[in-house]
Amino acid sequence: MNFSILTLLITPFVGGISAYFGRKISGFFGNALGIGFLVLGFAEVLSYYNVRVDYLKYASIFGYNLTLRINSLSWFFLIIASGIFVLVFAYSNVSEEGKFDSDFLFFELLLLEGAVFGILLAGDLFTFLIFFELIAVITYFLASKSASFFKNASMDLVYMNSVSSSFVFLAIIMLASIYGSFDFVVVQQSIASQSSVIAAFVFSLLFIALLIRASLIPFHRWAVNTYVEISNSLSSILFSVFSIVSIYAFILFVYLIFGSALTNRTSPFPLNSRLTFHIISWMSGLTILFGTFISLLQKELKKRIAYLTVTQAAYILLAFSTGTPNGIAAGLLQLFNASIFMALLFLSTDKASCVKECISEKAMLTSEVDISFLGTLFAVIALVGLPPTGGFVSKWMIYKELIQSGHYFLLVIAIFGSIGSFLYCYRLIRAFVTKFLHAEHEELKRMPLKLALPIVVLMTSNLFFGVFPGILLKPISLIQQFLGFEPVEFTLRGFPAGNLLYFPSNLNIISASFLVVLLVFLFALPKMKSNFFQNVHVSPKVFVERINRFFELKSRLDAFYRSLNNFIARKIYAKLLNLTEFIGDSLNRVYALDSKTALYYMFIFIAMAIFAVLLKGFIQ
Amino acid sequence: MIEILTNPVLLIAVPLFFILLSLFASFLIPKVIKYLSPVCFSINLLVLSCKIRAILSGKIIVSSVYFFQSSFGLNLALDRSSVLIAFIVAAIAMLVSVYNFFYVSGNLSERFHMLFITLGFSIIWVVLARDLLNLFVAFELVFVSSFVLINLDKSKKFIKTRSLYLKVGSVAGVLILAGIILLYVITGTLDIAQVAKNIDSLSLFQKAIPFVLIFTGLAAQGAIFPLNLWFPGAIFSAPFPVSSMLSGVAAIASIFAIARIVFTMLNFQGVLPLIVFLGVVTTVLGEASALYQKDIKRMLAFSTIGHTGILLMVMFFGSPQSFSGSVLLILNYSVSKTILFLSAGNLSANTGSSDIDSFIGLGYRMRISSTIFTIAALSIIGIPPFFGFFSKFYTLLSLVYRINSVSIMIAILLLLASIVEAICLFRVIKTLFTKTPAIGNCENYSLVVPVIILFVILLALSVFPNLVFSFARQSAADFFNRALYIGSVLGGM
Repeated sequence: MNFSILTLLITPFVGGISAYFGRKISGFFGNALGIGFLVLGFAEVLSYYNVRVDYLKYASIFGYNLTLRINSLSWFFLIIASGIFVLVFAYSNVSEEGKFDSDFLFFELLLLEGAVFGILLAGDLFTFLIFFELIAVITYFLASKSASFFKNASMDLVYMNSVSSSFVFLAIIMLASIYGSFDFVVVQQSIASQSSVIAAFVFSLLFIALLIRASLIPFHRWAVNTYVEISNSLSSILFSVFSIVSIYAFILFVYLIFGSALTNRTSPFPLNSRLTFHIISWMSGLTILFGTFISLLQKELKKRIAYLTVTQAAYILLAFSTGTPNGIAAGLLQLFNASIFMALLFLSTDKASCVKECISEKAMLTSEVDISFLGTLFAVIALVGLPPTGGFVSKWMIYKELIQSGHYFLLVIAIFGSIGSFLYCYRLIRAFVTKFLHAEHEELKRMPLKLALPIVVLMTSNLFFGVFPGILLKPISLIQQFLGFEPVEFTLRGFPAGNLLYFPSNLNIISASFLVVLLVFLFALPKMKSNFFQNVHVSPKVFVERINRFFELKSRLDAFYRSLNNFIARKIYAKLLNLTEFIGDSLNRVYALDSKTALYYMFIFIAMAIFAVLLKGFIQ
Repeated sequence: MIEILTNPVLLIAVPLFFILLSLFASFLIPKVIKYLSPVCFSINLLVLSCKIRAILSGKIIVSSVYFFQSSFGLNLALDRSSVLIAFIVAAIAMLVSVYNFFYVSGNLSERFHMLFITLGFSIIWVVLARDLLNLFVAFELVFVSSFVLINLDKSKKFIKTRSLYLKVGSVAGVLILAGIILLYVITGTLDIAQVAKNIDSLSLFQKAIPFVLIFTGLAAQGAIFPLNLWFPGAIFSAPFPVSSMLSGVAAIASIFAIARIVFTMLNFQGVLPLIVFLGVVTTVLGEASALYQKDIKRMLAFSTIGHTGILLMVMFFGSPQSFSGSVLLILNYSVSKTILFLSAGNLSANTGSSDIDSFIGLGYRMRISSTIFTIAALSIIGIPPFFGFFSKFYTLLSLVYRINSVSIMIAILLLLASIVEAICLFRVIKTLFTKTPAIGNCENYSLVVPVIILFVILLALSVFPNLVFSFARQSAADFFNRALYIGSVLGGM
C-alpha cells in the first residue's frame, strides 16, 4: 500500500477536524478518531520505508511551483514525530480529559503534527516557511492552554518564535530573490555553483534562527518557561517538535543546501570557515554545562526537568557539529532516543508534577508509584547514558566522535552533563524509593492501564532499540548516503567486531537480560518483593545519607548562583529595562498631545522638508 | 440607458441623493434612515461591478459632469488600482453601515447614518478624483464628516483631542487649497492628466512647493508622521464603526491620493527617498507606541500608524513590483483592520470598556467574535495560511526584487513591525482566551453578521491569493504607465 505524499500531509489535519467534531458527539468517539488518524499517519509514514525520493508538485504561487518531497532524511524524522504523537496523544487523551477546553487541545495537537509533517515534507522554501510559522502559532495556543493570566511562557514563546520566523522569512525571501526559485534542489545547486556574500548573509540569518529554535543558551528562557508552565504530556510533545524541527532545519540548511558552499574554501566568510560548526559545538557545550548547573540548583521538579530538556537538544547538536559521518549517525540516534526517553520522563513524572512543591515525599505520596517509578528510573538511566537503554549507545557514539575529532574539553563537558543528569535525578528517584519503602503496599494505587500503556510502550521501545540499535542504524546509513557521506558499519546488535563501539553494544544485551530478571524479581513476584525490601531496608538509607552529605556542596553553589543572579538582575537587566522604557517613553511622548512637543516636531519636519528640497535642487 | 445607469458619476451622485433623501426622511419617517446607507453603498458596489469587465481589459474609464458649462464639475477616472480601492471602501462601508444598524442607537442615530454616507462616499471620491479640485472637495468632506461623527455625542470628555483634529484638519485643508491654487497659477489647469502632460516644462521649485503643500495636507489625513498627532486620540474618542473607517480605509485612500500626485501627476522621483524616510519614522513611532497601549482602540490606532508607514515605504519605493506589493498590503490592512475594529467593538459592547484587560476570558463567552478577532489578528501579523502572510511575502519578495542595502533595511523593518504587531495582538488574544470562572454565551449575534461577511472575504482571499496577485501586478504596471493614463484621460474628454 502506497499513499500519496499529499494524503500523508493532509491526514493529521483531517484527523484534527474530525476528532474535534467527533468529540462534540461523544468523547470516546472523538478520541478514537484522533488516535485512528494518528495511527493512519504512522502507517503511511511506514509505507514509505526505503523509498529514496518521492516528489509531488501540489500548487503554484507567484508563478513559483510548490512541491512536497519525501526522502530518507525526512522519513526518519517523520517516523519519530508520528510515533511520539501517537503515544503522547494516547496518554493525554486520558490525562487532559475534562480539563479546560480539552476538545480544542486535541484538535491543536493533531494540527501540530500536521505542521511538523509539513516541515518535514516540504520540497521548497515557501512550504517550509508556511509550516515553520504555523508551528509557532500552534505551539503558542498549546502553551497558553494551561496558562493563567499571570503566566507568560506563551508570550515568551511568541516573541522568540516570531523573531526566529522573521529571520527565516528574510533568508528565504533573499534566496528566492537571488536564485529565482523556491525549490531546495535548485537553490542547493545554485549555491554550489555560485555562493555570494548575500548567500553568506542568508546563511547567518538561518543560523541565528536555528539557534533560537534549538533553545541553546542564551536563547533558552522561552523553552524553559514553556516546559515549566504547561502540562507534562504537552511538554513531551513540544520537546519532540522543537528538537525535530530545529535539527531537521540544521541538517537541511547546513548539510544539504549550504553543504557544498561550506566545504568550498573560496566561499565568502563565514561560509568558508568552520566557524559555524565551532559556534554550534561551543554553544551546545555551554548549554550542557550551564543547563546542568542551573538545573542542579532548582527546587521544583518541573524546572529541573525543563533545564534538563534544554540540555538534551544540545547533545544532539553537539554530535552534529563534529561534521563527521559518525557524528551525524550519533546525532540522529540520540535524537531518536532522546525523543523516547524525554517523553518517558515527562509522562512518568506527570502525576507527581501536578503537585506544586515537588520532589518532596509528600508529593510522591499522592502519586501512583509502580509504572511511574519504573518509567522515571528508565528515563533517568537512558538520559545519563547507562546500559541497557538506547541512550547508552548514542551517548557512547557522541563521546567517541568527540574524542576522534579532538574536542576533549567538550567531551569533559558532555560527561559532566551526564553525571549532572544523574545528580539532579537522584532526588527524584530517592523520593520514589522512600515512598516505596515506607508506604503500606495495600495503599498503593495502581496507575490506570490507559495511562500506563504509553509509558510501557516507550519503556520497551527504549530497551529494544538499546539492545538492537542496528534497526535504527539501517535508516541512518541511508541518510548518510543521501547526505553524501560514507555509511556507518553496523550489525543488528550494534557495531561489528573491531569497532570501538563493539564492547558497549554488547554490554547492553547483558545488562538488559540482567534487568529483565530483576524486574521479574521485583514486580512479578509480589511476595518476594516485600521480603526483599524488608531485608534491604537499611542500605538505601545509608546511601541516601551519603549522597545528602555530598549535596551540602550544593547549598554553597546555590548561594553563589543567587548572588550572581541578583547581580545580573539588579545591575544589568534593570539598567537595560530603564533604557528601553526611556526610549519607549520618549517615542510615545510624540503622541501625548503636548502642544510644545508637537510644535517642536513640526518645526523639525518643516526644516527637514525644506532642507531636502533645497538639497535636491542643489544637487541637480 | 445602461451606460447612464452604470455611469461612474453615480458613485458620487447616488450618495448625495441618499443624503438628501435621508434629510427628508428625518422629518417624515426617521426609522427608514438607517436602511438607506447600506442600500446606497450596495448601489455603489453594483455600479463598480458593472465597470469591472472594462477595467479588467485594461481600460481607464473617465467620467465627467460639468456644472453649467463651466470647467468645474465631477471628474472621475477609474483605473485598476483606484477601482480596487474604491471597491474595498464601498464593500467595507456597506458592511459597516449594516453593523451601524445595531451598534448606533439613541436620538443622534439619524444624523450618524447620514454622516456615515458622507464619509463613505467621500473616501471613494478621494480615490477616484481626476482633478485636484475634486480631490480637495472630497478631502474636505472626509474631514468634516469624520469630525462631526467623532463629536456627535457632544461629551466634553475628549475635548482636547477633538479640537486638535479640528485644527489639524482645517490647516491641512488650507494647505491643500494653497497648493492647488499655486499649481493652477503655474499650469493653468487642475486636471491631473493635463498637469502630468505639461510637467516636464516646470522647474523643480514650481513642482516642489505645490507638492509640499498638497502632500502636507493629505499626510494629515493619511496619518503620516508628524501630522498624525490627532490620529490616536480621534480614533480613541470615536465610536468603533467610525474608527474602523478612519483607520481601515480613510488613511489608505489619502496615501493612494499622494501616490497619484507623486507618480502620475508630478512624476516627482526625487521626493521618493524623503517619503520613504517619513514612512520609516512613522512605522517606528507607531509600532513603538502600540507596544505600550492598554486600550484596544489606541493600540489598533497606533498599529494603523505603523501600517501607514509600511505602506509609504513600500508604495513609494519606486518600482512597479513594490507598488503591486503595496496593493496587496492595502487589501489585507483594510479588510483585517476593519474586522479587528468591528469585532473589538462587539467585545467592548459587552464589557462596556475598551480596556484590553477587561476582555479577560471573553474568548469563551463570545466565541465567534473572539475567533474572528484572532484570525484577523493572525492575518494582519502575517501568519500562514491567511492572506496577510501571502501579502507580506509578496511585498518582501517585490522589495528585494533588486537586492540593495535600502531594500534589505526596509524588509527588516517590515519584519520587525510584524513582530511588534505579534506581541501587541497576541497579548489581546491571550487575554481573550484566559480561563475565567464566568461562563455562558453573551454573543450579540446581530453585531456579528457583518463581521462574519468580512471574515468570509478574508478567508476567500486566503484561499485564492493567486487571483489577486495578477490583478495587483497589472494594476501596478498600469499605475506606472503615465502615458496610458494621460492618453486615456485626455483622449476621453
